[in-house]
Amino acid sequence: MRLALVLLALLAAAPLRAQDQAAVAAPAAPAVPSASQGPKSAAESAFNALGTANLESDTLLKIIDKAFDTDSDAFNPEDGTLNWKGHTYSLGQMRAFRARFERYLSQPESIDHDVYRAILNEIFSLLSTRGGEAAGDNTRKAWQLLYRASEYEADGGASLAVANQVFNAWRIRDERDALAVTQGELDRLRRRQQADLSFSGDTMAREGTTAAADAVSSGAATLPGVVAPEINVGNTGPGAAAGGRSDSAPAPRSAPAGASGGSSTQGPVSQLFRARDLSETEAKIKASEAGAALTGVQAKLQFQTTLVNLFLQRRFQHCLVAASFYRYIFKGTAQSLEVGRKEIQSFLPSTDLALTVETLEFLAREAINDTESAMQAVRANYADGRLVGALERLQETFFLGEYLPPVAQFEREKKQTLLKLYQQVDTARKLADLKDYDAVERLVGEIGVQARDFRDSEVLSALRAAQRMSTLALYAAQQAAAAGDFLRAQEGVARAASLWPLNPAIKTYTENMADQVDLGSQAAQLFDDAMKRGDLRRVYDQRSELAIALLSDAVRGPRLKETIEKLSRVEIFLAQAQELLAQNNAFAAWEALDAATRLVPNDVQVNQRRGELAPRVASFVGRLDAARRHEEADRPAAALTQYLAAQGLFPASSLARQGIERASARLLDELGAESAAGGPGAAAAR
Amino acid sequence: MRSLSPPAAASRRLLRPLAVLTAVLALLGPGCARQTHEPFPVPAYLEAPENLQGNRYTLDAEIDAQLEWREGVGRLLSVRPLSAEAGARLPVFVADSLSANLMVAQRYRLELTVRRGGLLHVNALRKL
Repeated sequence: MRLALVLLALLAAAPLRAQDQAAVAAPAAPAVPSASQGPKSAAESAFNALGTANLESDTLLKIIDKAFDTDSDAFNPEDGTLNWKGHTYSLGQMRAFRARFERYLSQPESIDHDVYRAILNEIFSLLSTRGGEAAGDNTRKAWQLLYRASEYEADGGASLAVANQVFNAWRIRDERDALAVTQGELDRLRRRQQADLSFSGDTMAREGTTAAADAVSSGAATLPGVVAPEINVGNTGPGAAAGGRSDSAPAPRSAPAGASGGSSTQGPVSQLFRARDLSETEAKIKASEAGAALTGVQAKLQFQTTLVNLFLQRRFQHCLVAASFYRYIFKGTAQSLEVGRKEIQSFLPSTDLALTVETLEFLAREAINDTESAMQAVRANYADGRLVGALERLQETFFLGEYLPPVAQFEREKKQTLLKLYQQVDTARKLADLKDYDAVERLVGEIGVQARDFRDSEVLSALRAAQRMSTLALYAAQQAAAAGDFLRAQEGVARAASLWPLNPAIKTYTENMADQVDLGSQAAQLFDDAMKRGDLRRVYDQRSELAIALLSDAVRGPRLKETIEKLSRVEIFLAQAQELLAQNNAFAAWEALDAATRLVPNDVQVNQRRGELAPRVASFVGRLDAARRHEEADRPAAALTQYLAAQGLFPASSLARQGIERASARLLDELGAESAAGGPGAAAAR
Repeated sequence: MRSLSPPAAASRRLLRPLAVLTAVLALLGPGCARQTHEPFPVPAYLEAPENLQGNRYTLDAEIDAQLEWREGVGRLLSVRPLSAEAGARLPVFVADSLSANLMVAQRYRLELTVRRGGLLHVNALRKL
């Protein structure tokens, strides 16, 4: 599994170092079992070593950490995300993600791409020369070119989105202009309505005063000395002075006193309608003003949303184009970003910085520069034959600058070479997953020839570690089987197979086990027959084969061991007898053969030697034999006599000495018993 | 008597008075063993001890070794018959009740009984 990770790491992109490591959200690192335990016995040590695990050595872990350091990776293959400057781009599922990269490697260069890139350059050129009198025309030309750029596949519709957003902003601006005209008209209407209302009010007031004066005058005729008060009903305000009288309802500014009578239009009801009209006009003005403000904000937010989206989609060129349009369309006070602040903030090292469209532009330019420099590194690696490095750089660069010209314009033959390497490493990874280490080794050798920076030694060391651990597990299984612990043996074989299923030693082991079973059954038959006949010599002669075959036989194994030990001692006695005969010590040789005979009475070899030696020690043997017969016949005194006679022939005889001791003790036992019982001895003593 | 000191036929006449004197001294001397039985037939015993069971003999022998001793019972000695060929050794049992102080290389005249199993049981002994 670890090996698979190494190869996967080679497939995965090497890290783009985030400038702010603290801001990097560390993806989950792969689980790494570790440990090691000290060995005891051979089998225990083997199993303990396997129990640690583990297969993985510190070296391998370091390799994995180095090649697959997810904490510092810009590219996380687990969830298909790209981390650049502390921000994580979601790139979709890993499978689709890798498919995109493989598709990129296999795609030929697009001829249209040159045209497309020329259009984009033209747009940039037009937008950069916006100053002066031709600014409007240049901007409009650039906007029109966006529609042309959107026709190319490489564009992916990003230019159309920018163009539509620009058009939308312009439309909103036109709507605002129209709205301003409407607002002017409404304002003019409002002023006229105000004037009419004021005039009507003044007229009504004046007519009322006149009527009162007339009434007073008529009353004064009857009541001399009363003076009517003077009432100022004139409209002294500037609005009133400005006039603004409605054309449809012209009213005489000064009606003749005599004509006032019932012909006046300044009644209370009409005054009420005029007031209502004024209110409605003012409401329309307010609504228009609010609508204009809302439309402006909406346009700005929509444009900013497009800007942020383009940036987050890694359409950095279009982000720059859109930013240029934005700066042209919106005033300087509207440059602060209102949307996507949180997303953009994550790209910046400090949260105190003001987030503006220029900030976004700066980040987009930096991404473009990073992509260009990374592609230079790709080319340099490729030129030096460091294809693995080139592949890693290209992969990480692809995921950042997938839509940028330096990536898109990478030469096809180089991409094909890298694609082959990519596929080989992928195949090696899959083979490593299947633990077909032989195939992995062959493939790694091919990759090593192709790419001189491929770390084949690290992969091979990981392979060797796995193979060694498998073999070690097999040894442990063999030892356990030899010790009769078949449960552990089975466990060891299973572990060996899990570490390296195609381990040839496993096949050999199982075949040997089968042979051993056959040999075991044959050996058991041979052993049983020999033991039944008492032919221990045959068992001893075939001890090596029988020992292996019957090692796991709980019944015959101990008997075999006992037999071998017995015959080993017999062999020692035979050798000793031969040496004693060489020293012309026939009695001692006989005693050695006699000891051997007691161990294996039916051994042909011992009996043959005894037969050869017997004439030379006949008297001695005769005494010993007679002593034994007397001893067996419960005549210890006679036996003692014979033993003494034998000892007289061979004073150093251990047989005679032991016989004397044995017979003496027995004799005294009998005499003691008789004495205690008052038998003949006691009587004689008395 | 014949077997103890077989006189030469030629000198038998001269030695008779001496023998008479010796016999008198033996009868008079306290603790002195007298040859009261036949001399012990060593070859016959070695050949078939069971054939001699129940017989009483006299044996002049030298103590070779003490084979075994059990308090209250007695001791087993191996003795070398003075008359037998060199190397022949016989086991004899001396009961503790005889209260004899026996040492290796001492010579004794032993009055023996061949008991069951061929045991040579010393009934009396006299140092030579």
